[in-house]
Amino acid sequence: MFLEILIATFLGCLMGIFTGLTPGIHINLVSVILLGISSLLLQFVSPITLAAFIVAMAITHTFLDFVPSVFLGAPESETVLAVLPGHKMLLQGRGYEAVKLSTIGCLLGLLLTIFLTPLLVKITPLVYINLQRWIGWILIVVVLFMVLREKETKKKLQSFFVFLISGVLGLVVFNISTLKDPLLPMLSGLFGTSMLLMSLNEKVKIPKQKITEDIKIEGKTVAKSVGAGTFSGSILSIFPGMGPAQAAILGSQLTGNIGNYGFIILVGAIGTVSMLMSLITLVSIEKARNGAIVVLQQILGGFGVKELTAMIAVALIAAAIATFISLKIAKVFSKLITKVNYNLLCISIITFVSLLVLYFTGLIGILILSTATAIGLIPGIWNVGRNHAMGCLLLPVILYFIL
Amino acid sequence: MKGNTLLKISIICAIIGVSALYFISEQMEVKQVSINNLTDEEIGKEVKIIGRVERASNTDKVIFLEVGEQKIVTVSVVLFKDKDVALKEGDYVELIGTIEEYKGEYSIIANAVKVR
Repeated sequence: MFLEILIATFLGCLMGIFTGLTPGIHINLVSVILLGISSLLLQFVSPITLAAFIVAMAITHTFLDFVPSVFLGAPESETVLAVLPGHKMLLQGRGYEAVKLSTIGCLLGLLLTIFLTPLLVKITPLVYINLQRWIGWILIVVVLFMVLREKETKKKLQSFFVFLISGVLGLVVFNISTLKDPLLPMLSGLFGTSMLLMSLNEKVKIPKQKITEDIKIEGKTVAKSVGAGTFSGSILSIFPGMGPAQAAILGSQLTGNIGNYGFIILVGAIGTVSMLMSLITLVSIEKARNGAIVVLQQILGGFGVKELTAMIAVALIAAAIATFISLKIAKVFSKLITKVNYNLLCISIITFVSLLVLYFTGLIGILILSTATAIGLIPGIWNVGRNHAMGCLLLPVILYFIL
Repeated sequence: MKGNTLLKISIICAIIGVSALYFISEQMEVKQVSINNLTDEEIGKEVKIIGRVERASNTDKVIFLEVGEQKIVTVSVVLFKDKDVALKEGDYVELIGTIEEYKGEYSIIANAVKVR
């Protein structure tokens, strides 16, 4: 059985590398396909082996999905906010450093969560029962704080407008019941294609990328970012409706000014922590908080402490492999990115994302992508924070909790 | 942060992960027992048996089986169906389940079955 699980872990890592590097291909998609063929696979392997494959894939994905976010500006819901500082670093020739920072966040966040697992298993049910009715109000305070942080009154009003219009878009999109993957066209438009169009318009030239092995960052900043990332990543897994982006906003408000470096570490930690934490919520409150974990629950039937311990061991192995691979791939991307025609690359990515949207969500998806792209251009033109466009997720979540 | 610190941490993670997985998987492995040698010590424990279906009776929600390694010694198996399972006499099966005692006889409440 040991060898069987180990092989499944390696295969899961390979699949996680593929899903992480390919914008639009999510682990949920692979997990659902796996569920479809699970009755056949279970003739040859045990359910825990399939679970190991899913966990290894999910953990590896959270490490690798920063690479396209930073180098291609093509985000997924987990990395959407890190695109902004990550892409900024790419334009300063420090794309590799950005990936390295997110990897630090992923790895240290994972280790901190593993260290806290016995405590988290105990306190999760208490937090779930007591904090649920306050989460909407907490998010309102976070949004107000975000808007009021802009310096001039005009910018504050513009930020609020961006928040509201994105929020309305989110409400409309989430109400289209026939849409299977509403996040893909909406987030790609708000944070991906709009940013790429701006780059095209500004005739951005990617400078030669530096491979910096030693990153100058204070231990205190790393500790604050990983701590806040672990806290927000845990909160996000306990409450339905919360997403990584809301957790990142919540986390960054908790830490105060941690700079771009700290923020990337924080977002990195949130993605991996929330994935591991969804295994802990499965044990402690018996709730599966994401698609991959739902599939894992269905395959395994029961999920207890023994299974959790095995999956934590799998996560450790996957994290080690993912750290090594993501840094290697970031080095390759750093070398390649200056050799390709960046304008052509932007056009290719916009075309690729549009085709993905068309394939997965049809013509209605293209309409959403176009609208979201138009809204996503506004913060760039007004020179206000693009994170206000996270209203697309924050407003529906706030209304979900307080109404 | 020094360049190779991440690498060192990840190597330590890999070593701890592989060792932990080795010990946990040893514990998770379901012990295979022979139908001929079932004892009271195994009552309540999860075991694996491999044998031939000697008799099968199917109802809507449950399948009752008599599984034997040799024709003389068999054990009763109760399998609750959560999906369509077709088992017939003569099939060689691998069953994982918990041993219970029912009316002085051993029986197995199966939770997984594979036709071999």
